[in-house]
Amino acid sequence: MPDLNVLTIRSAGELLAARELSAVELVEAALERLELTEPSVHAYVHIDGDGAIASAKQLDERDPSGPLHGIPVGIKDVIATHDLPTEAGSRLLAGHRPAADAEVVARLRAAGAVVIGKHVTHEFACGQDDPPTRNPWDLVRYPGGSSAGGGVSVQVGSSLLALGTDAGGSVRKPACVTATVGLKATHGRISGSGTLRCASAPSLDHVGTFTRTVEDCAITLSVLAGFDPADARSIDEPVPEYRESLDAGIEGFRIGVAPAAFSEEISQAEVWALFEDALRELERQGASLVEVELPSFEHALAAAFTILPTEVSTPHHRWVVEQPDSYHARTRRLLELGMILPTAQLQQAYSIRRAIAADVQRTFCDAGLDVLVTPTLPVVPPRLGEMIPGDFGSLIPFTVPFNLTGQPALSVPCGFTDRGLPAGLQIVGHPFGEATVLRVGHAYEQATAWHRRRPALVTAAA
Amino acid sequence: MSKQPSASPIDEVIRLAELAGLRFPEEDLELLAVALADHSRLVASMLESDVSELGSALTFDPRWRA
Repeated sequence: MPDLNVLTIRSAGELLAARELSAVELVEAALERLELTEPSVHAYVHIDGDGAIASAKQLDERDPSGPLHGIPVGIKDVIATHDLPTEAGSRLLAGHRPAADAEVVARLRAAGAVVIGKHVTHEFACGQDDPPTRNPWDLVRYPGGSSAGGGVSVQVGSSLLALGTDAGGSVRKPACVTATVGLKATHGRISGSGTLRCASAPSLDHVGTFTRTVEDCAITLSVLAGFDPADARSIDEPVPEYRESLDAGIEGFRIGVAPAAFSEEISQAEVWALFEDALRELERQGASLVEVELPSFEHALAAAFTILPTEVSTPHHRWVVEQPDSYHARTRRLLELGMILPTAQLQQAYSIRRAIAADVQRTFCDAGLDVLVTPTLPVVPPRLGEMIPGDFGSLIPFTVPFNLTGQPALSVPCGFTDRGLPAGLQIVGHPFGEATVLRVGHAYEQATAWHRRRPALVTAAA
Repeated sequence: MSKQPSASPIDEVIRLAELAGLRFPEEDLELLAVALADHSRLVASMLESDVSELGSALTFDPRWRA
């Protein structure tokens, strides 16, 4: 039985290619891990063990070919799957079965991935209700937002890859608080067709990935990236082989830090200390730190909190009026707020968004930056009982600006506090600069061991 | 001329909903009024920000020049 505490997509792929491991054995191991961990972490809402084993058997009948051959994956329950329900955590969509896979799911399957099940999400990914998912590092703490099931599952080994969506940080946040690798690529780089419109703010939303290593992230991005004519947001840009430049190092790189925009003042000291350790490691590897200012970013939260509820509420007008009791009350109120925000505020929010995009473009170009780095979250995952319902402003100030700008942003584990809680390093690149972002993340990861640490929940059982 | 009394926060929610052609459940109005007030505080500084120097909202694909 493969050891799911150490396995990655790459290492599993090598074992599968050498016929030292079968797809069935790998999927069965993931299902066994799922059975062990689900009573504690509740990452999945729908599981198709029989279907997954049947798919794995078919894969074992032929030579491994696709880059994700036999890899067990989980999909956020807002992304369409033809063979499993897609309910977006909502009673309104109970039993909803899309006719076809989302483009990203189709690409994963074509690459040989085996879908184990659907991951828990907040109702319509709005972040307002209280889903059952728990953080494996401390079961009483925040697991990271609407894509939390993906981060949790990849960390505990009930999948080796997960898809989420990120409109304000909902891939990078769970990646940070579960100590996994989370990427939202450039807006338009990965198709969003097949993501439920009623659980999405289209101009902010990105389909993103959870993996255990940056290399696994690169392998996955090479599968998912590329033009999709079915998605009006998709951009037809060449797709590089993202693994090629991973090992090239970061000697001579210019790495931006913006201490005013992403400040120590709003960060917990233990998180900031880990961020500074990460900066020292990047410098040790030959990169230069360049201090930059991003003055327009002070309005990023205000702009995002205006655009996000407005965009996500649009398809809900009829349901909110006709079936109000089918919503969790806090989700409904967020949607109602989005329906009544004055147009003048929305207009200003879109103008500010343009100002932020211009600001960051100017800053990257003038300072010759390869990437910009920030802590992913300014705080450790809070205790669930101490969180103010719906208050995500304190959790996303470092992630949401890059939903407004559409830049690629990666979160990699950058240490654990004395209390054993993970922190993340966010690496932000030029539009379509994913290869550079991954190169920096990989260089950092190779010098650290944070990504190999597993919670007691699974190490005790091994 | 006597000054018209300003609308209560709940009346303001009802008015905005009516403008949007919507009618929300009674039980939501009070908390929605609080949420609207919170949002107004959050965006106050953003609304005062001068964006008149911003360039055009339109961008053109460079391929059009070909």
